[in-house]
Amino acid sequence: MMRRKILWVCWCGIIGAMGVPCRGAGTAQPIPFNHKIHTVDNEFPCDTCHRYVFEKPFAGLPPTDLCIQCHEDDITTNPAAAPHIQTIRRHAKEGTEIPWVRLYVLPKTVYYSHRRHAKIAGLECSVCHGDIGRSETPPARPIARTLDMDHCIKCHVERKAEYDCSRCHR
Amino acid sequence: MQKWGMVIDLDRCAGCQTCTVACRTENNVPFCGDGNAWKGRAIFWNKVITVRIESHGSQREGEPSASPGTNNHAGPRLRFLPMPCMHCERPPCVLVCPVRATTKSVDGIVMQVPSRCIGCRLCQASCPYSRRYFNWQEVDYPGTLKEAVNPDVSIRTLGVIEKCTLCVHRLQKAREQARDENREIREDEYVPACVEACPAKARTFGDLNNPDHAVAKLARSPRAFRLLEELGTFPQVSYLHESTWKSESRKSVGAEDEEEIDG
Repeated sequence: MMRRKILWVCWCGIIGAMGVPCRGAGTAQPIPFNHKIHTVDNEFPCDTCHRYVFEKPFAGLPPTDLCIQCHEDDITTNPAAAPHIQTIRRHAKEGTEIPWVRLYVLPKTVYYSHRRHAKIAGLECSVCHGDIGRSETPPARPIARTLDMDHCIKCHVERKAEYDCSRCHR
Repeated sequence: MQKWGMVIDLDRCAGCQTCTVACRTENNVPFCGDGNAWKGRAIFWNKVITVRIESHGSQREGEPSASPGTNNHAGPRLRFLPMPCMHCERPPCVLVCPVRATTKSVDGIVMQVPSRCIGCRLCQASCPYSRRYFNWQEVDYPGTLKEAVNPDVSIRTLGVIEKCTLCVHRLQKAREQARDENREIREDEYVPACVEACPAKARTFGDLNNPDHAVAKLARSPRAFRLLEELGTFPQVSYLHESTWKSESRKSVGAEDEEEIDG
């Protein structure tokens, strides 16, 4: 009976230890950024903050300079956002970047270009990124596994795009 | 559709190894260390092989040179044979791969996807040119070398095969730029690192299917030959030579040099 209890405690410990870093990875953004206020209420297109989405392989995360352009003045009426606005101003004052956490990380053997998909092919961001543009908080769970090669190939077959190995792998 | 190919002028090649160095730095080719190098496990996507020709021309040993200033000297001559992957039209390595980690791309590049490779080394055994290398150890970039790693090329891990990809990451960028501007890829827009670096301009690169490209004309010239043509692999890398050194080297090259070429 005692042994079973010890095993049970160990089991819970292992599961807990596995769960904690996973949950942390998704929510560990320095600021709980509200996409909905920016994209839906204020109708900013995605490339306002992800500035390189039509020009470069990577979309880019917003630098502090870009945030502070709007948030230098008190434009927010939401009192819950006030401490986060202070965080932005502190980063701007110190001249440091906000340590945003990348949610979508592809393996290094893959060449993925935002320009090729968003500009040349004219795909909507939501094809790969889902509803994150209309979310109010950062996702509760990590979303790194949502994009795998099956996802890429399925879409390439549906849209009759090339899926030769040499186009993406390197 | 393009068919990318290369022509290497052996009469221009001076054996300076610039292509080897350029390839190493461009493609993050790992260092194997002393111990593995002694075991013949050093990785060279592009290797310059030295071919020794015992006698040149009609000159015999001990005889004075026929006319001063000419190149007819008595001793053995060295010729250099740069060996990238031949990117065969019928690649034996693609046929034997059990997991389709290596494929022939639509535009003629024999691709290797390192994340898919299981390291069975069948392709290494089947390549008649020995242009495939196995990673016998985890790659380690000490100190500041880590900053010199090319971010465009993945770093291969322990236990996978790697090979020349004709700098496919450059093609991916060039294609994207061309697509964006709604045009075809220009001839000088996509060249591998070895072609770009060659100081003697011995290498020419381009589309073999496009008659405007210099490489298409050179590959059909009477000087052109391909390595081990009799195997029926139809390499897309051809060599140019003016003199009779190919036939001479066939005659005079000893077993050891042939072995090196054949693997």
